[in-house]
Amino acid sequence: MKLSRFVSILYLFLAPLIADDQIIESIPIGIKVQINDEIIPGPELEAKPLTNESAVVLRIKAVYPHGNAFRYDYEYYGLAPGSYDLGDYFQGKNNIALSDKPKIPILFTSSLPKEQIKPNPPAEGQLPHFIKYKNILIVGTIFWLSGLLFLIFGGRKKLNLIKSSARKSPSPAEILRPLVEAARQGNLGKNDQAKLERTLILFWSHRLDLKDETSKVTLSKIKSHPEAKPLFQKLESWFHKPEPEEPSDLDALLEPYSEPKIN
Amino acid sequence: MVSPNNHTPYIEAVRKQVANVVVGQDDVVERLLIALFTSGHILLQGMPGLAKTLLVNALGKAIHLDFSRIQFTIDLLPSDILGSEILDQTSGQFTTHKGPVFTNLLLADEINRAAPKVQGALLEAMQERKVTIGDNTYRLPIPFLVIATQNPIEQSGTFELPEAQLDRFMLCHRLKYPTPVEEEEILKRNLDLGIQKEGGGAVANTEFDIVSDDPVGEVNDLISVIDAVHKIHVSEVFIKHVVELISRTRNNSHIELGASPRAGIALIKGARARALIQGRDYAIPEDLFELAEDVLLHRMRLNYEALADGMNTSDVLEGILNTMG
Repeated sequence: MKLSRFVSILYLFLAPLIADDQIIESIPIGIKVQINDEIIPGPELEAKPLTNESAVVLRIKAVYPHGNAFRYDYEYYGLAPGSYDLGDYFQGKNNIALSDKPKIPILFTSSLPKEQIKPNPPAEGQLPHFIKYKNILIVGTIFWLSGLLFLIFGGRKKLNLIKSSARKSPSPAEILRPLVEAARQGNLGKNDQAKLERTLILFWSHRLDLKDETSKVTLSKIKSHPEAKPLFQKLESWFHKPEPEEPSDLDALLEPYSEPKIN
Repeated sequence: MVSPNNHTPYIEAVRKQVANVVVGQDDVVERLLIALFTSGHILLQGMPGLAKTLLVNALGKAIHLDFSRIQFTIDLLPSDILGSEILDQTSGQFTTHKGPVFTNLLLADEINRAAPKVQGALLEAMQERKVTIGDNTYRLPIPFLVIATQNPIEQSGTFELPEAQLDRFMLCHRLKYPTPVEEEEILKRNLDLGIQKEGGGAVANTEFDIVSDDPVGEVNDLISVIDAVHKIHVSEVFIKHVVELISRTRNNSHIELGASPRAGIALIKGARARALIQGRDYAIPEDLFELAEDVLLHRMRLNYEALADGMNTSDVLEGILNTMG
């Protein structure tokens, strides 16, 4: 513990004594390095134009006057591994000859062996035969297609059929029989009266084959039918008038509906 | 019990006077009268040019009621409808300037073009029949009927009325184009409109120029009809039909939002008014079937599955009505 503290303190004192240009950090080729506010003594500099032989790409992004010198923001990256002097890639602005060229050593390294340009091919792993990517794709496609075909051609229709058969309502004739019987015995409550009237409308719409008509037209046609008209007029008087009149011929009126033929 | 025949001449005279300027549209006139007699409000859905404004204008004059029209636009403000307090510079006092809502018949043209706050302000006035301007609350004139219109096609730049606000309209009637015979009659009448000369100039007459200013009755006649509608008999069996219909809209597998209790009330009120117009003193299932579409359709919303199957609310309601048994 004490030793590490001593080393840290020693480094703090010695660090400023080590010249910057002696620290050469290796940079992978192709990776940009951004330098800001670096003061380079001398006249204003600019980046040399690139040539086919250039191993470093240098771009000066901003230049600021700094006393007798200039302060630079620049970036660079390497194209080929090796040690270079970045100062070789600067030149005096407007072709001013430089008496003292800046010295900025840089080191670019490559993660690939020398002369190798392309990355190493991926190692070929051996997967079990059945989980090969191609097989997974084939199996997945078969499942997806069978699900789709099931939905399109079978599933929904069958489900709808199951649903509709499960809640298949009784036919108008089946509903009518007990209601007519109750009416003839004088046991028809208000709920049943309403149900009887609605079911008779439904019964007649089936009988006159008016299922495709709108409800307004259906009712109007039923009420103008010579056989249905007297029935509905009497029901209207019985169920809806302020002073209801129960039809005197109720039995005869409802006789055709005690065993109706049309379902 | 009320005798509907006492009111038939008045109602027929109103319909006749409206028919003098508007060809066809008997259903719309009937719906307007139903809304007027039951103190409801009506939303008319239809293309431009179907004589909505002319119809309301003619109806207002026939019944001797005040009529105002507001063209709803995106930049309309609530104060443009309700009114505002204005500083009188001579007296230094605020005076109240009442807006066009203070009328008997208000035509709210293209209501879905205005911002929701304006729609909200009008719908609040419709519901409460009073308006607050500054610190003062004013009652709206009686009768007060809002006839709103909206175009079902052009939806860009509009604010669709939410279900809760649509529910406040007692009826929503979908206007249809006139039949070929009616269309021919419209064109023939238009040929004979003539021109009017005034101050050395001349201008072609429009249908509005031939609307008669002579009312067919007084406001007392209308009050008498409104009173009579409230005396129309509604049987227990009829109420059970209404309950069954409302319940079916709520339990249908294609419907997400069924009819509200307000819809049931509207059906009963509408059936009463229709019974009186038809010369009966009691409501019958025919009234229910006739008004179901206008009362229920705008209050129902289909669920996702039904929409995905390409169904529409009208078909679902027809299905319900056709299988009521």
